[in-house]
Amino acid sequence: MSFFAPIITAFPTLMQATLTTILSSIAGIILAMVFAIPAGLGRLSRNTVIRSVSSFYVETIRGTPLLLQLVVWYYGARILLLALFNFNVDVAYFNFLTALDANTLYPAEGSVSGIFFAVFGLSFNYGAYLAEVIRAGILAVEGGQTEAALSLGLSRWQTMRLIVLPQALRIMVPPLTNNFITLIQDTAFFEVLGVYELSLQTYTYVQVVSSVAIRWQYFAFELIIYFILCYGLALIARRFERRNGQSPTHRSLWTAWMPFRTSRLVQH
Amino acid sequence: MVKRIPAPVRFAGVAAALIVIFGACSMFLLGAMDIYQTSQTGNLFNPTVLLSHTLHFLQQTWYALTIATDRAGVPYHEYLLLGVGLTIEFCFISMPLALILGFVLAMMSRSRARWLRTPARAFVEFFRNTPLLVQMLAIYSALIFLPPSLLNAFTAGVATLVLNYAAYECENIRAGLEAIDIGQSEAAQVLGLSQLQTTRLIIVPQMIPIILPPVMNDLIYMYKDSSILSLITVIELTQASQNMGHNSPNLQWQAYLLAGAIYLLLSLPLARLARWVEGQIKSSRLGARTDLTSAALLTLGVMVLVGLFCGVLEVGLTFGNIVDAFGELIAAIGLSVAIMVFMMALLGGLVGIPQALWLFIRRPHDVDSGAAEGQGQAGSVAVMPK
Repeated sequence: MSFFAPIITAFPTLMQATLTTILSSIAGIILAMVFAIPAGLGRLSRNTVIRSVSSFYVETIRGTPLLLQLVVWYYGARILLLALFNFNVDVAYFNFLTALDANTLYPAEGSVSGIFFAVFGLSFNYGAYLAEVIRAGILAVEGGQTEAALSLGLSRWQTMRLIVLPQALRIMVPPLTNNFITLIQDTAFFEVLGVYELSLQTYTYVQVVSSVAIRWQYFAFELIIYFILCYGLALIARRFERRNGQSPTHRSLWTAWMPFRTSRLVQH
Repeated sequence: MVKRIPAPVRFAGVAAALIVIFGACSMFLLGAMDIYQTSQTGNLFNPTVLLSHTLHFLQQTWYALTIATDRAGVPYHEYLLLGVGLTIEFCFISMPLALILGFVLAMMSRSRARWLRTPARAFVEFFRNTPLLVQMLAIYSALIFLPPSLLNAFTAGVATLVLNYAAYECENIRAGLEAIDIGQSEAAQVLGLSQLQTTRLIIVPQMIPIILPPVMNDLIYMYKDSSILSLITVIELTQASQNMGHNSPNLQWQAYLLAGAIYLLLSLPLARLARWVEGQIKSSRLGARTDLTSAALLTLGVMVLVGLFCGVLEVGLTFGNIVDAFGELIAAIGLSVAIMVFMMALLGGLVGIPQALWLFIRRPHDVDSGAAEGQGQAGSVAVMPK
């Protein structure tokens, strides 16, 4: 057992770092959808101003690498906010916790501004990619559907909500989950900003040992954890797709996301 | 119904709104950066202050692009040019290798032999589901027992990009192969073509137009992903801009903005080019008379040579440097193939041996027909009923 002693010693810390990875990727996915839905719908808008603003966002973000964006958010935006508005994320978070009388929640070492700007930058980046997915999904729904709905007297919003989105959502699921998987992988970029998530935590352990065998232990452990996270999501998504494809019932926008068979619940 | 606004008025309104939104936002951003860089205090809501700071920022940008130098007297535009050169070098060398290895992986994962199929699938799934960054750090810092001529920043970077993208290209190529009608290869075999001839003359020329859009897309992705090489001391565009910012902090924002602009200027035309090539290849003008397999191989070879040439230009165009570049390329190819074979053996063993045991326990009498089932799914020749 002495061969595995380093990894056993490091296990609790690495698990905590894994938790950071999981939580920040969940937060990133939610925030990315918040950016993506207005941008994706905005690219299809009839209003030129809205369309060009969202196109600018999508094209600019998709054209530059994530690493550069993260560096700009952290070393740029943080300092800019400090210099101009005297706004410090760490102090703001500390004051927020003080107001809640929960100062013990503040991390003992390090700061929160790293993870704040990391999650924000990552979601801002993925918002652009997901916006393209949403746009492509909506465009993939046949135009005749919209025309028929409009001629039946539905309003544009009703057409979107009742006719287009339920069909588009089913088309969007595979590319969306692919993007979510790469988002989980890209949380490894947080190590550039000094966030102690799985990859940086492992790398700090790796850097202090010179034995190749021990280094491989750490890396193998890390890669296995990432593989379990990403492949697990892929398997869930595949199962979801298969079941969604099988089901002959008409699914509404809301029931399509439910994690169980809804044909008994919803009578169409 | 509201009375429709006449077109010129609407156009003017839209133009004014766009100018106000983009102009005001960018002026505020640039002005704020300039205030921060010059460490002055000023109210940005005062139009005069705003305009002067914006103009000063633009002037500084032009200064950084033209005559600004670091302490050693190296002009900053040289930083950026060298960065672009290295980025292009890594992309153009890695993408063809990734395509070739991806093709091998795709053929393996369509093979009827389980001992070829399982390792290829395990390799692809593993490399697609783990982060590129971690793979790079693992290759660079946990293979240190190799001699520095075989493992340095260049070879480790190329090997990472090649291995990761080979997995993605394998999926693209597999999708392309599956899209081709099975009758094509059956007809070719009936006509007496060998397996190799069928692949070269029938399958690949039909596959290329199908896989071209995703492959071009992946090239753009790789072009952006190569920025992670800055973490293993390769001074490509991102790292070059960061160095520029460190060397003269009052040009930091200009450095970031210029790097972002260069990335945009290269990736947006690349996307347009991808769409153009796609259209060309789908129209019969190019497709009918060209030998697409040879053309594709030639393109890949030229890409590698252009990449090498970029790398040689970085250090100076001498005979010794050219020989060095070829040596490094061969070392990188060797490292990639060695890691790929090792990982396939390891992962294939981890997945394949329990799988074979399980099949043996479950149905001891027809282990072979299990392989035939899988082959029927992959679908090259119909399975004969017993």
